[in-house]
Amino acid sequence: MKCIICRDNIYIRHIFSALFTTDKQMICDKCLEGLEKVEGGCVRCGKKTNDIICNDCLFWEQNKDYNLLKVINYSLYYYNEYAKTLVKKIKFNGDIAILLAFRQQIKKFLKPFPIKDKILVPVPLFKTSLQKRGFNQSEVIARIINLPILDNIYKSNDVKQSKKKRIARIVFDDQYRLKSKLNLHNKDIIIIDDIYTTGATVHKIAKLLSDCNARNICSFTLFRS
Amino acid sequence: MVNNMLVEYTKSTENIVKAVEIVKNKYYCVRCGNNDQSEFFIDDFGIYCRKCLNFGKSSTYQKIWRKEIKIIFNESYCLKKVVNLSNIQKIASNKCLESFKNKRDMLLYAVCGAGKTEVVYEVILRALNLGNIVCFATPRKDVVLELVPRFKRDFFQVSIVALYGGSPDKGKVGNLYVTTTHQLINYYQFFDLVIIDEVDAFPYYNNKMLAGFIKKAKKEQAPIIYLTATPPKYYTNLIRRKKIDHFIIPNRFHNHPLPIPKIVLTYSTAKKILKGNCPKKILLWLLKKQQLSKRVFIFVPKIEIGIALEKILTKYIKCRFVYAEMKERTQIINMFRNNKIQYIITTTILERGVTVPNVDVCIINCDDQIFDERAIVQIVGRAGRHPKYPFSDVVLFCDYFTLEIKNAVKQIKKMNKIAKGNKNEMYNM
Ligand SMILES: [Zn+2]
Ligand SMILES: [Zn+2]
Repeated sequence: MKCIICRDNIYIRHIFSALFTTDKQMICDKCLEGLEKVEGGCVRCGKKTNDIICNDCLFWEQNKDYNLLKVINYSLYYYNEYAKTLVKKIKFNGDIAILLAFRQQIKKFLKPFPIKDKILVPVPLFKTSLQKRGFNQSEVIARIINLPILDNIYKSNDVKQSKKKRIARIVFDDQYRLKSKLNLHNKDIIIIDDIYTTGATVHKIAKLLSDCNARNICSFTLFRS
Repeated sequence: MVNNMLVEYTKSTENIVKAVEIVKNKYYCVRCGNNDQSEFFIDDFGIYCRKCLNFGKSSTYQKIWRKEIKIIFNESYCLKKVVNLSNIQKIASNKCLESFKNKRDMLLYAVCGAGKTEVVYEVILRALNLGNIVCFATPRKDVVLELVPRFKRDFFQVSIVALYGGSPDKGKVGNLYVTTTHQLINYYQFFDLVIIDEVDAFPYYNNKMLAGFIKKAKKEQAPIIYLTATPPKYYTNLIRRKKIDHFIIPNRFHNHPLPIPKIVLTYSTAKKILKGNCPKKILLWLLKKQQLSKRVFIFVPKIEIGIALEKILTKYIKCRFVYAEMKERTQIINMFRNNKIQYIITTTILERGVTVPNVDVCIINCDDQIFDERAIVQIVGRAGRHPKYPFSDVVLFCDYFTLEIKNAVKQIKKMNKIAKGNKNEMYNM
């Protein structure tokens, strides 16, 4: 078995336990060492900070459109230099193999959470980027988690309507739209993305879903910058 | 749709082909030649090749546009001024012409500093004047950046295209292409003569993919001239079986032998440096160079050691550390070349093709496995390259002798022997 990232051989240290797990280790220990697991930090989003709540989260807390959402974000790794090179390979080169190789790590991370009855909402891409890359990285992560996926949101680059309003921020708010009307009464949602940066994407989609009566909304991303 | 296709320039007929094809039930990447099935992967639209991902995604749902390029032909290319060749260089130059005429591949073997580049000037001009397109491929971007101004200075009326990752010349049309081997992926049956510099250097050696790029980029009948200072076994075998022509330039152009490296033992070097201490022997040697105001190349095996060493040495001397991925890399190398920095610390990645006159060289932690025989010989070749300053001091600092160090010294001595005229030595390498 060769490491998907560096192509070195993987030496399995615990052969006995490896025999009983269905998810094979696809990334070698050396490559995993370059990544740093999210621990502590902001209680809402995991950002590295000494405060209880980080500035990003305070911003959403103080914004009247979003302050009722209370989205909690869970991320697996910090977005360090090494993570950046991986994301570049996944998104810029279109190498889905690297993303799929994180199956074992993602499953292990989510195991303690009670997510059985939740619905996954992967962040959509522009259609053009999807064709160029060959896949939507958020959707791939959602498929790894293997829960029902809601595919009713699209990303639009139609800004005509917002230009009329002349409010710059509205342009962004209008980016994600519903394909059709939706009722999510009593449903819990996990928004899935590759990177959580300031939380803008997650909050915009959360707003959209909360307007459809969704109950609890949280998010999971592979990286937290 | 054309906008999304991968583009390859060609001089044969224009067409559009699939980027990944199925041949005899196996996937085959038309772009990079990969047929290792474990290097193919499935995404939402089809199968893609992981081997050449850095050059754009090649997949079953992707197409390659082989774009025909017409090149303006000028018919009177020449040198701006006469380049003085030694007798042996002249013979070598004629040998290149002969092999080119017979459409045969050739290996030109010359020790470091023997003036290989000048030797191929004639054959480049001959090809250009026939209306041919010539490619000069080298392993590293630095060498491209160094050769292009030199070619621009020496060649008259030739339009020269420099290609490397991030080059502004991408897509430009010319007669002489100076390129990193990786960039050849964008060409299909395009070149009439290919010259490959430092064929022993890391990317070609044992790298099937790059060999495939070269084969794809040149016309089928186009000959290749390989330049090397240390011929790999593969080529000496080809020579023995008379599959390719060869020629040996025994001396360096200023007739001085390669410096024999001194070996100095230091103790737990890497550990000390990482802790912030430099072994005394190394420090004293470096400080002596400062008094002599000689420039020094310091080679280290790992980036961490380079960074730590830079921190230690800046207390005493002006030095900079450069490595491959660094942004200001070219800038720092230029400062070193222009004598603005006296010391440069580098990983082996920089080792080949960069010429600076009057330098002393040392390798720190030479027992590291990264310094194999080939690498050490190449590094020693950096020293004493200028006719005015042929003597230089080369020191290998190591914790213990390795077989590679021993072999390298042996080989350097052998090369110097060849330089004196004993050609039979080559086959015993
Ligand atoms: Zn936060
Ligand atoms: Zn390929």
